Amino acid sequence: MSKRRRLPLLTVAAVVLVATGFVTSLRHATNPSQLPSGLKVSLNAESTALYCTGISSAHGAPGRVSFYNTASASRSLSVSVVSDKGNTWQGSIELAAHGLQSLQPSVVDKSAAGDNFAVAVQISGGGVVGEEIAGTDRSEVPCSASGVTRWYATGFDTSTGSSAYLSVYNPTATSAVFNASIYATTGYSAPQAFQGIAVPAHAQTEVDLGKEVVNTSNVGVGVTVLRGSLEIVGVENSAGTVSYDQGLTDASKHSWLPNVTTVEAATAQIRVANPNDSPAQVTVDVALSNFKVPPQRVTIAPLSTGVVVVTPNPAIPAAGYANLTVHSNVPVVSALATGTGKWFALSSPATPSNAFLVGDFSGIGFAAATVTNTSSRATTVDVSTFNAPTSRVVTSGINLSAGQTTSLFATIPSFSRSPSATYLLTSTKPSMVVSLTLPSRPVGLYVVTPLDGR
Amino acid sequence: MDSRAPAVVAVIVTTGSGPGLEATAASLAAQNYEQLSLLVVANGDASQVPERVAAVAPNAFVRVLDENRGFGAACNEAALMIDGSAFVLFCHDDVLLEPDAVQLMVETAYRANAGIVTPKVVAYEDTLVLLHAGQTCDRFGVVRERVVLGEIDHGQQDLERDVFVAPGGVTLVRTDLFTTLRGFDPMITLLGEDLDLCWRAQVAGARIVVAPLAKVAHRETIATGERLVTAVGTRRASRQDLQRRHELLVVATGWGRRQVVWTLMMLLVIDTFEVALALASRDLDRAGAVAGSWRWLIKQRRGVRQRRRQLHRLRVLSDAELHRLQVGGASRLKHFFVTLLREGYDKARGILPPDETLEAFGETEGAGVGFAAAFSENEEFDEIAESGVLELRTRSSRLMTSFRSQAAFVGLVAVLWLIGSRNLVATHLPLVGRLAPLDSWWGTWRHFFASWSSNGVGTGTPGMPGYGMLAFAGTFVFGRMGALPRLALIFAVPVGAFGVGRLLKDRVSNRARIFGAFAYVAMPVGLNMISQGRVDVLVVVAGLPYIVRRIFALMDVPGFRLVPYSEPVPFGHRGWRTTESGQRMVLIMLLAVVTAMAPATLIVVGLVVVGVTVARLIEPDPETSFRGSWRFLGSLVLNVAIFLLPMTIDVFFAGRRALEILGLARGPWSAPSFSLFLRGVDGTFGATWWGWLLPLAALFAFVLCKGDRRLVASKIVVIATLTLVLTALVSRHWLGSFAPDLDVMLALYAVMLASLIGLGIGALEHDLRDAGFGWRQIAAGLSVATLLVAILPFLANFGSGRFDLPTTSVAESLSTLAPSTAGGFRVLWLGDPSVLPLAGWSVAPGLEAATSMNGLPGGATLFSPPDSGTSDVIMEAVQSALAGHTVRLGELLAPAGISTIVVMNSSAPELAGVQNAPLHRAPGVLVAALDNQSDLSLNLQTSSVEVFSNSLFHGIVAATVPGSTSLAPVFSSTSNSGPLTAGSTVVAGLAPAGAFALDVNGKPAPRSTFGSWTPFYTVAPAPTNPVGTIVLHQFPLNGIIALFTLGMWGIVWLGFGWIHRLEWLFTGRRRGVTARPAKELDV
Repeated sequence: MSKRRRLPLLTVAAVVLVATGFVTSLRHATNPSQLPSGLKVSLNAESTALYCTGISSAHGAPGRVSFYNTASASRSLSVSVVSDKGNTWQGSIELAAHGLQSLQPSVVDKSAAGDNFAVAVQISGGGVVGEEIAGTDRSEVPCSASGVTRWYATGFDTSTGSSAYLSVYNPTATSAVFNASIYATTGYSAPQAFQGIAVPAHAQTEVDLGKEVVNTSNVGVGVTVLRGSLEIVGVENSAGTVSYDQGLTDASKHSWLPNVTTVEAATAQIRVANPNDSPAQVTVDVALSNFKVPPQRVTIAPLSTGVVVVTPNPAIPAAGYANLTVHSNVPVVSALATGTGKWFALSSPATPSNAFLVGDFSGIGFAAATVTNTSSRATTVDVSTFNAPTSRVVTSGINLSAGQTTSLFATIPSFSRSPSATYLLTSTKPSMVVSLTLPSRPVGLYVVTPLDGR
Repeated sequence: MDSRAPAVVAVIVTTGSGPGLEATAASLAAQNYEQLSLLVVANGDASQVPERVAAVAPNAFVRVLDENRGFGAACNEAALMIDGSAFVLFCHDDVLLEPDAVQLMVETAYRANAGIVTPKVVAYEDTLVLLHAGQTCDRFGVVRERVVLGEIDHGQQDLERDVFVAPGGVTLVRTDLFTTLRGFDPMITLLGEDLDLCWRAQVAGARIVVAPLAKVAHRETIATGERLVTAVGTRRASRQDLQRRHELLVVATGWGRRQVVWTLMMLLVIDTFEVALALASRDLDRAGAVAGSWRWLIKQRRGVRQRRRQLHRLRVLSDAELHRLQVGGASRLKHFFVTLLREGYDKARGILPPDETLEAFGETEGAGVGFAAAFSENEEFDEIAESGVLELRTRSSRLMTSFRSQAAFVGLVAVLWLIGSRNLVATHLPLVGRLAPLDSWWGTWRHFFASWSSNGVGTGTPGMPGYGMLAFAGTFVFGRMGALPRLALIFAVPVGAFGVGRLLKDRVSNRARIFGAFAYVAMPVGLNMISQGRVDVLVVVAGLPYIVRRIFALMDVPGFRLVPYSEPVPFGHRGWRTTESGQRMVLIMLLAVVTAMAPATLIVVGLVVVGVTVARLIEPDPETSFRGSWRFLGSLVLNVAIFLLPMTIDVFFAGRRALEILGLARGPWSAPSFSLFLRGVDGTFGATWWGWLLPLAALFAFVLCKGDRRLVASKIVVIATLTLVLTALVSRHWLGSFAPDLDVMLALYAVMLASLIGLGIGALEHDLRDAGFGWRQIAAGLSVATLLVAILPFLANFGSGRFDLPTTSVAESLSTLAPSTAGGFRVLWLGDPSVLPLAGWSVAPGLEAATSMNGLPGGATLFSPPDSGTSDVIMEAVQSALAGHTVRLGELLAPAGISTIVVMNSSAPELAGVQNAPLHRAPGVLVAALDNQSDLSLNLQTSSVEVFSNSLFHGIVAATVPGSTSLAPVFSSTSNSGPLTAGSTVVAGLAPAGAFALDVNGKPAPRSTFGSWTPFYTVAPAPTNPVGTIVLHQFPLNGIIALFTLGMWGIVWLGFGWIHRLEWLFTGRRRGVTARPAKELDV
């Protein structure tokens, strides 16, 4: 055998192996830990569930839950209302195709007036979404289709005149156990009373932050579920104004807050909690009409909270709504606190998704409705309009360039400030954020989270 | 009378005191050669030289130089004074020539047309002791003697022959050649000028010949330290310094452009090794000499370039031609390893003591003996006879050449293995891998013949042939089925190692076979499979070497079919086994046995056949009669399919799940990385750095192989490469549902590596000697070193006495799986296929679903047919949960009687300091999905397992009482009959629905399915105390198929000559033993 033939075999084998090794090592396979994204209560589901908690009958303005059927067939809902006193009520609702129906727990469970409620709904099939609405009609968050094992929120206030609590519902048949940690401007704490809290199966409980974090503003909370999964909503009562904070399942380096008021007499703050053990350098980019506003920066100590004041801020002109983008060098949790000098309402930034359902569930219409493309590439948003009960109009072609925010009023002809129809916005990639504000004076005090089908 | 003899001028260069000058001059003066003139060059200190010379040779001329510029420079000076002489005889001043020495040398020069002639040099004090008979050198300029230290001259070297180097002392050089070569190199003041001159003479095409009849005694006053080194420029240089730098200079200038780079690079590697060794042994002189030589060379780069240019103009011989005149290998390195092997490190590291001369080194080294000599079985091989290294030959330390030493080694390994597996003999086997407790011997046969099995929600597909194999094997242990997994755990690897030895038989020596077999024992795949309880893969580990050997033989891989197949013999007659069809049938049956346990073996066979075919495309075999690889592969697969008919039928009806027979897709996130695959690792053994050693040794082995070994090695390398590529692609789930068991493929990789190592040892024994320097030498050394190092961690694995097989398993810890309610129940097991202790079906990559009835997995769940059939309802329900399409998984699974869902992330719990099982996590989304289910409750959550209970469980057989829709279990878990309520409806989670009937008081109850997969039976309102029995009504088709398969095995077995042998049973008389055709093949 000649030497000429020796090299090729070794070379071929080496090249093949190196190429194989290189190609197979290019992308490290990750264990999929997230359920499929998008509107998870998909139409072809065998069965789905919705969980809403934090609904209160206190203050004379009982909250409620609105269910909307996006499917073109009726759905049977098996409803279970659980109060924090342990009372339960079982019932069922027939929801027609594209039908909307509300449920006020304090009405169906009269025995528990003044209590807090959780509502669990089991649906045969999919396509039903739910939104829980505060009694004042000034705060809305979506009901969730599944529990979470980690949960973050920030911006709570327990100072005099305010109260804050976490409403926790266990949707599973397993007793759940969780720990809650507190982040404040003074640092981190893990109160003994917040550790190892057990929630029985299908039960609801509250964690009153004011009991352990007395007279403190801008309180961040991190919840770790040790066993099972939970539905959690943060409830802030600021001088009688109740607002819901749906929280986040993960801290993130980027968040988008499209409709933040900068008008006179309003206040707007971005409250940030840093759950890391290293300082967070937070930068807020402000896009406001034709003004060029310098980025607002703040450094937040490890395991503590901080604030970026947007309104009033001498660097930011009072010129309507601003689109804010929050960047950080480490993952942080942010929340928007809007209000006047006397009270505020909390809301969490919406997580980019590929499906949002927009409907006037509170019945008071919208002051602003925008859709933002959070990705670095242009995208197209398809809009499906549901006019109850049957007709379905599909409008396609809202083209959004990278980072662009556009008003739904301008882009969807039928979308009015008090829309009678329901709109489903979908994009091919989960890079879309829809932001809604309710009418208020001054404008932009109530930011609501649209249904993202969690 | 005018002499016709050519004129010769003898030049004596004397330096300093010149203790032998008078004797040298006198011996020259006494030469019988008439045309000899004598010129004495006094190099530097010339006090009384003229007088001393005049006293013994009055006709001699004396030339006095101002300073001692070295021997070469003095000779050059003398050459300038010579005119008209045909030869110049350069002499040291400490030599003594026999009177006819010059005449004989001149005659030789003419006879051989030599440019340079060197005499036989003997010791000054004892002329019977040979010093030189010419010299040779390697490509690095290291001179090697052709005689050994103290060799007695009894005429054994008295043959004129070409040599590469004419050692200094007395050298006859043709004057025109000397002029052409521009004399000695003035850069070489001392030591090495002879090598340099000869090298350049060779390049210029001149012959250098030894004239052994011309005898010269040499006092070697410089070499022995009798006289100090005093030349100009050598003041601060030791002899070692001079020697190393001049060797390097010769190498740097003597080779052509391409060779010089390669040679210097190799030399740099060797020198670095030597420096490191010298520093380790605190031999600073040596380290300084080596390092200084390179420094000196760089300093002399201008001179080097000039010399190269000069030599280039003279070049007649190419580098390749020149190299053929030299000895192969790296002499210094060879000597190191030889000494290392024979006399240990301490001796080896001092291979060139500072006070040892080059000549001394050469003498101790022994000509022609390299590292390979230590591995030689062939007395002629290592040239010891030629070299006369009697000392080496008589040493008893040659590694494992005798049968006794080989037997002792094998015995030692066997004892170590038994020690390492001591705790597998009698202690508890955990429920991991495929170690589920087997059913009884009869029960296992029944699984093979059964018309219905409990896999999933039940299936009526034919019983898997693996049960038949287990039951058949159980016969040999007298039904003690518990012994089978223990036997597999303990003996699979040794049996496989024996197979590797058989694979290498007749290709390499016994010693190489033993090394190959031992390498197979030390391969991580076998140990990892033991630690994971993968009995199925262990069967492959045991059987694969035999299969590969037979495939090689049938494919006519060189060296594997030593004896032609015998002439065709009728089936059933004696000798049929040795025919080609008989041999093929043996392979098919062997393959079928292994495939029954691990069907992915068929893929492995495909890799072998394809690998051989591809290798032949790259490196064709010189002679092969084999054609039709694909037909051969097809015939193997087809025949195995026939031998495993029940499984074939299962596969045929499995549809899209057919490929799952080969293995289930593992989660790409938990599959081993490519670097682990390169090491053949899927587990904890070999995952550290030492795992690289055996593959590295195999690589070295491959590059060492030549000739026929190379032909085999190339096929092995191609097979190994294909295996790795396929394994990597499968592990990343890039081939979809085609996911053959990774561990089975790694077993093939291990066989290939072990075979390569065996071949490599064979190459050390036979191929290395023919090789020139050096990467082969380096590879050889590294190969053996890695093999030796690889042994150590292997020994460390014996500590646990069970090769880290866990003592407890996750599954066994779930003792509370039984629901509190009465009735039969199923447990749904979910997890990565590599951790589940039972066979099932794939739901998604990294997620297998399988069920066990009434508790833990057992002997009935070792194999599952690829056809999931009705069990798809379970897979679909789990998939629905994964997609977030249901929150009522418990309700969906309740009809199957599933009470518990076990999600496994590891086969055994992590016990710090006790056992360590790798985590192969199930898809994270699975646990999230199960958490979302409103009817499942989490009972247990650890890092290795999560257990959910089904709140809607109602038993496998349940009934509703009249007026109620709730189901309650009926019958116990151990019985299929019991009391019922009159008028109730009984539902059974047993598939296929049509196969079961409910007999109520001996009469069948009406059955319907209501559109579901479960049968519903309506119990009549009367009588009031009915007793029901679930009965299986199934035509025993599976039993017939199993019987047919067994019959086929039996008939083919009879075909191996037994029909002929047993003929007397039917005829009543014994036949005479017929002549056996040809030599029976070694089977």
